[in-house]
Amino acid sequence: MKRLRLSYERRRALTGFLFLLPFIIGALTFFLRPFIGTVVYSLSKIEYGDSGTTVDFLGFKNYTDAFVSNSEFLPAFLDSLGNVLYEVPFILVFSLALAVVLCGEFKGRTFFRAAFFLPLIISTGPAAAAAQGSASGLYSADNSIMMFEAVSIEPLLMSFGLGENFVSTIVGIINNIFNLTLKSGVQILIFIAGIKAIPTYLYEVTQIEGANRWETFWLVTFRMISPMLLINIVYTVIDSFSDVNNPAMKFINTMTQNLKIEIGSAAATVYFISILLLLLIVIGLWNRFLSDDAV
Amino acid sequence: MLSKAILQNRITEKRGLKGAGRVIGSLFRLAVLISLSVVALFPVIYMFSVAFRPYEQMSDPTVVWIPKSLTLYNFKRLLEVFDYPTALLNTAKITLICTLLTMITCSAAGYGLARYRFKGQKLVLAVVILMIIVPPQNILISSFIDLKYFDFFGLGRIVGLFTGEPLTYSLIGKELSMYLPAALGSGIRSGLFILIFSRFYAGLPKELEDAAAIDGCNPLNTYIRVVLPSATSIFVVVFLLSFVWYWNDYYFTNTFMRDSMTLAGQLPALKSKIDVTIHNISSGAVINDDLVTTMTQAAYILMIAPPIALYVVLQRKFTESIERSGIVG
Repeated sequence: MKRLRLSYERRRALTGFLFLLPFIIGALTFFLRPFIGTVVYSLSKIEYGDSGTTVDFLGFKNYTDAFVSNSEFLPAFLDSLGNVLYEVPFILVFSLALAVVLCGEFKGRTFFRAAFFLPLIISTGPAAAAAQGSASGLYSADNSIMMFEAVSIEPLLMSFGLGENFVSTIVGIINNIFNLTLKSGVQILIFIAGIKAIPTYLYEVTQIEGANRWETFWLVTFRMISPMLLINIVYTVIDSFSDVNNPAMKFINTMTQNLKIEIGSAAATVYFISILLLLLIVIGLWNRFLSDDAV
Repeated sequence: MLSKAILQNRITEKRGLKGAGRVIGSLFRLAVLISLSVVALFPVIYMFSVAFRPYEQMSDPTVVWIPKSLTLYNFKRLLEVFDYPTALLNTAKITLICTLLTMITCSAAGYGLARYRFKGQKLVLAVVILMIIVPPQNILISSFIDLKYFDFFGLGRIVGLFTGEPLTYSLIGKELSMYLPAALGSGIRSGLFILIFSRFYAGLPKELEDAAAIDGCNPLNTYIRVVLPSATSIFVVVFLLSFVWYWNDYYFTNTFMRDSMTLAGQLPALKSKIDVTIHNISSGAVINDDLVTTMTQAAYILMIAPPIALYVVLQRKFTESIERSGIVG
């Protein structure tokens, strides 16, 4: 039997495809099929009758309902976008700074690394609601919430001649530091892995060249973790957008709970596709300008 | 080989920074870390403060954080109501199997995405990102129906063309409903892990793989023998994240497996269970909300202890990975 001959490029493409094959089968079965199911709902009218549920094709009426007739979704969508724009840079800077500090060799590092991993363990599990409930109870009991309030620095910042919007953003961030610390667990971990994977010889080079710590950070650490930075940007953007407290997600979930699954699905489809496009643009720009290796 | 910290210290010494400056620097670091970690530790401090105190002290206004005496009574009572060892073993089994399957598939997919070029690759990337974007609860109804009438990747329908009835198999209520998606890269947050692996592999130098290929190593062997050994640190991260997410999951386990005997699956219902049992056991006793509170916090401690222990052990691996990689220098 003659062996099948393929060109080098063909063979490479086939190999790459084989590495991805399990995932492609899984994504088709367990993700795309239900997702397309949801999109079909968004194009249909669902009736809950005595003889069971019927799904009738309707066209784009649910989309016009979600965007034109219903005046809530669009403002909620823009509101969510605003939240994301201010949250993402802060979380990224915060988690990178903490990761750099936590990567140092100092006494008690194991304890602190574990401490910043804790929010991840707690906030994703059933303990989250209870922990938050108990925390708020205790806060109001002995006023320790004042610890995290920054109202008093508002006049101080204003007296420096800073703009009102700028000041209120800063105050908002400080008041929010509890939530933002809770949201940075994954990013800190990913950054730590990135920093720890930097080859030591690069630091030896900067030492020989006489760079100071600041220069070393920008020339070596920051450059070398840029792949991790992109992952963290993508993750943080998605995490902020799909937060259940986000106005747009609230709208989608309320619609679904009120059995208006069609309108909820329509809003969700538009919402997710626009996040996808946003992220693809970010990744495209990143590969074009900041990186020589494409995804 | 010098460690990074020693090098950094040498760099500062060279710049002529005085010892006092360094002391102030590390004190400042300590202050920042302590104040931020208090925020992160707050719920845990609360858990410990409540779980080890006698329940009578819950309504004592002089006790806020530090109990006057410590007791294991809450844990003892909890274990009467709650079969912790069984739930622990079950959770560990499901979590470990799903995490290992997720790592194998996602790493391979990430490698394929990072190193090979083929038609439709951009589309695959878009699907990966869409998987991270779409929260599972938004497609849960459809996923449930698909798992209930699982048709073996469409093969069941082809059989149906001959027999008249499509061949389906209900995965609902079986552990396979967790394992199968995990094995095929559609488990909890698999999209994120594929993205992490693919960025990591894209950043590795290609030279070693090229050398292996020239020496006659086939792609699979190159991947296993050359690429994987240099990816320890990223595997540790993915293992930890996936472990925690599976450990904490009650959404999928409770939907797909019905009465799952996992820790996270049982905790939400535990409060009412404690309620019922306690008020039945101590007949005639007044309703004791304080005991319910202390026991619930004790349950949370038992739930989060294993992942924390795992993290403390595994975080050392971050530092080991560089020396093993063989790409250094």
